Amino acid sequence: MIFQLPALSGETVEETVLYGPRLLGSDADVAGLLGAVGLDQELASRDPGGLSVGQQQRVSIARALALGPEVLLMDEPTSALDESARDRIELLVKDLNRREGLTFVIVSHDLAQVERLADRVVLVDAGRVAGEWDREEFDGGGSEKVRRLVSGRP
Amino acid sequence: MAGGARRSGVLSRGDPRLESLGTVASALLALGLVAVAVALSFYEKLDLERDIGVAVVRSFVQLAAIGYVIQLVFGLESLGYVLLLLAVMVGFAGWTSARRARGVPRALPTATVAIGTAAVCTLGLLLLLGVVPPTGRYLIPLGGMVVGNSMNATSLTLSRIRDDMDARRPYIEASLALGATSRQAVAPILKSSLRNALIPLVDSTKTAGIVFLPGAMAGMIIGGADPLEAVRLQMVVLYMLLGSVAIAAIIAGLLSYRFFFTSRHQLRTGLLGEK
Repeated sequence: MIFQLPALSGETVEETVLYGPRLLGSDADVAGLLGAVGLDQELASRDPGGLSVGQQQRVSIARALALGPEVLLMDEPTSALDESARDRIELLVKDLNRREGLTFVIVSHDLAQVERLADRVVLVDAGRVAGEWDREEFDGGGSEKVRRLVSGRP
Repeated sequence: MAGGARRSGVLSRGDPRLESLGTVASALLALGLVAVAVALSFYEKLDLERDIGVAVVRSFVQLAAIGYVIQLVFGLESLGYVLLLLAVMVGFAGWTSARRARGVPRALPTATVAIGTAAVCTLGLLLLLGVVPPTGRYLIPLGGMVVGNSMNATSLTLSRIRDDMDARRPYIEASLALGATSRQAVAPILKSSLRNALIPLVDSTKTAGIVFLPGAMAGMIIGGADPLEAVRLQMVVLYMLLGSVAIAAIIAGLLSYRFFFTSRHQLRTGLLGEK
């Protein structure tokens, strides 16, 4: 699970990434995980609080990957990031999907992002499914219903 | 007034005139100092006059009342009444502490159990080891100190946990999502709350005798006791208080964090402020 804000605990990036595995009494390949999310391995000994928010969000993805998940849930993972950091996270998501076969479930209010990333789009309104499309069928910008729900305006 | 005490013309211990002086005149004189505080508050617009006034009136009524109650309990010479009085103290302390801990679910039973356990453990141990005799003269004042300090520690622990749950909510949720149990997710919060609750007493214990003379010792020395005897009692009191404060804070912490989670280790976000 990846949240809107990275919420990293731990004194070093390494400690942060190992939080999940250590709860299970196991270990993980920190260098490999940092490589997988495109972070320099020298960051392992740094205080995560000193990194940029984009880097922190990558650390939080590495922290989730450390548990070897098949599905990653992401709740607005880029809404706290600037454009270039957002682009890099999106590239990373595509890359992990292609290379590692990871499935992502991403909650987003950013229709352009949905069109860039999604293979399948589900519109949720007040906890209920209000629509479902394949990427080819989905035309978020064109649909009045989707725009209204996503923008939150009546 | 006893005739014997008049003979010397000098006030001696136990003289009723000294006792009445002790209770009324000196209390009134000390009240003059409160007037200074009120005047300061007035001129500096600190808006504390009302609070100070209420505190003075309450303390006057409460102290006068407890004086008579203790006298009554001593007169009854029954351990049962001593324990009853201690139970009332614990109940009132639990109530006060729970009021401080707004937003903590089930704060009243939590605080009462924490303070009560601390009192039972520490006073019980002192009795078992024969450090103090099982009489009201020892149990009531020592119990008052244990209950009062445990109350403060419990209030500090509970309100800190509530604030930290709010402030660190994203961290708690991240930990839960990574497979932590509720206990593991709140471990850093528990740690900082307990530290926070213990610091005041740990610091006053560290500086005891250098920066200040603690209450029990000061009272005994003023009352004319041998300073070494006063020191012996003060050591008992300080160690007893450290123990009871630690017990109260730990129990309050371990009981209260659970109510912020469901049985399936989900954070009850409804109890916390808006994100």
